[in-house]
Amino acid sequence: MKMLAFSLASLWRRRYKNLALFFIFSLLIFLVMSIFLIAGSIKNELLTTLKALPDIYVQRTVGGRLMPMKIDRVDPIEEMAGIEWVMPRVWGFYYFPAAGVNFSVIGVDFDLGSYKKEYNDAIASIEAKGDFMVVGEGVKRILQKHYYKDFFNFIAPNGDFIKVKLAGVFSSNSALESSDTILVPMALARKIFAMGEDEITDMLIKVQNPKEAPTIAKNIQNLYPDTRVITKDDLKVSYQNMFDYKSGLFLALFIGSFFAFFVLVFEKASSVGKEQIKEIGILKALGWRVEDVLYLKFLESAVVIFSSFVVGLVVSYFFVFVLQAPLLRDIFSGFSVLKPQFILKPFFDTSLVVTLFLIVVPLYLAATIVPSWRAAVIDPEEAIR
Amino acid sequence: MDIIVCENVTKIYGYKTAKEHIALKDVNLKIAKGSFVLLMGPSGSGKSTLLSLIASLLRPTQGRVIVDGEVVSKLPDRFSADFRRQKIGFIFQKFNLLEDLSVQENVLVPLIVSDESIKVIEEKAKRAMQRFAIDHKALMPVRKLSGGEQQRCAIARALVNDPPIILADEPTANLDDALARQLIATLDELKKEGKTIVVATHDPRFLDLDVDALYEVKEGNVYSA
Repeated sequence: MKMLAFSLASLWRRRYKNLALFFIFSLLIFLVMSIFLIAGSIKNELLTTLKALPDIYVQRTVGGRLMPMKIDRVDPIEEMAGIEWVMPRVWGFYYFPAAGVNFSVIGVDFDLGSYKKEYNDAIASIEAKGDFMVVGEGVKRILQKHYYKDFFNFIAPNGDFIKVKLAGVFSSNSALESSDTILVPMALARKIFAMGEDEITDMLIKVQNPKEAPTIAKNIQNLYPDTRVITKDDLKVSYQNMFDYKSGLFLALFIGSFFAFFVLVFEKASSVGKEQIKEIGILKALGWRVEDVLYLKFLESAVVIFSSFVVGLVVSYFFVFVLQAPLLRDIFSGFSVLKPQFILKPFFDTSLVVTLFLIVVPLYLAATIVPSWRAAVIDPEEAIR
Repeated sequence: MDIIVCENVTKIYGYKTAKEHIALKDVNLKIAKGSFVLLMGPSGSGKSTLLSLIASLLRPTQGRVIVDGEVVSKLPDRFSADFRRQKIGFIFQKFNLLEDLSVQENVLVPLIVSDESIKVIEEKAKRAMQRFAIDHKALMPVRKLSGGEQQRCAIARALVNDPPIILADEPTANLDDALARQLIATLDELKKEGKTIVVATHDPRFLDLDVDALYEVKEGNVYSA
């Protein structure tokens, strides 16, 4: 207790220097922690998205371009061994020039439902007739901004206006993926994209045993050589690439923060001021042992680094999950033209906190204690002189 | 009974380097318990070095220093620290106070590493400050004190542990005449309490005292005067 009180007094009398150190370390820990939290939140988002994906996608390509295919291709695939269900889709991007964004328009059979639980939840309560749509929250925001509150006018490729009633809004676990989505009845989707009544854009397939997906994909490819068959694993790689790209940006920030930390630590480790050497000499002349001096320095450093760590940690949680990481979030939210209302969902990763603690705290403590030890082993008279 | 014994003590700074400097040469000295001893001589003669060796703040290059029956020149660090805390009260020429600490905190410094409770050490510090009339400035940072007040704070700190040996290095060098005489009287009083006092000085006012021994230190040699 005596030593702790003395170390606090000692910190107080060098309060400006110690406050500066406290702020710098808090800021660095805040930055590093925020980066990890945002990256972790994106990763969780990615996992949620991947979970919802079907096992196989089937598209038709001509000359490398995606082309519609006939709906009669569905039945032969459905009859293949190992297939649980096949869902034909009609979908595409619809460019909304007033906002400069693309909406994902997805045709859904409102009687049969969709492969997505969120879509089914959204369409279950809809009893609208005629041309109607159910939109994601991001779409609703954009439409309202442009005075479309109850309906929206699509322009078909032939120039005709298609007035569509806004029948509902759906929310999704994965805001990143579905914020820009518009669900419409199949027939309406075909009208918007000027497709024939027997045409679909692609098929989603669920297999009985996910391990068989590559084999089934190969069989579909053999059956329809003009198709591109994509498995969930292929999509995972594609999503992972997007995630890695975003993570890379954060990694750059992370490396920058840690570099600054190490420079500070090195600076501290490699130098002890004359005043500090003299102070240690005086303490020793007055009967302090080397271990007493080191204990004092340990307490001083521990107070600074522990308080910095806790403050940096708490502020980063507040910044990321309460304030939703302003500025930093913009780095990754730009990947969709719609800038979805992406919510960073709180999580606590014990191993992350412990790892950061073990990297930062012992290193800083060592950086303070080692030079103090060097000063403490000098003869007191020499240190004072 | 001799409380301090120096046997063939030599101190060479920067030993075996280009900056080698001989501070003390083959010094033999005996100081009796409870005596008042003056080490006189010009600046740079080796007085301060001799005090530092007795206080175990330095180690001799050759020879040995025995204090209260213990060879302090060969003590490992932790034991020499304990020795200084228990046996030595050192009054430095430049006070060597921790400038940003208050008077009370400075006086408490030697006691913080003791086994005594906070209450006990605060009581001891209070008594030491009262004795040297610095208690009214207990909470003031020492950098704001006058030279005389700093000196009194340094003495209070040196004596707070009630050490049997008091070593004072040019204690009057930074004081005006009145304060210097006051300090000399204080040291004389401490001698009467049974403390062993060794003062390194070239201040002739100390010669007014009835000292037990006077040594002249000249170019690293110590002569009985």
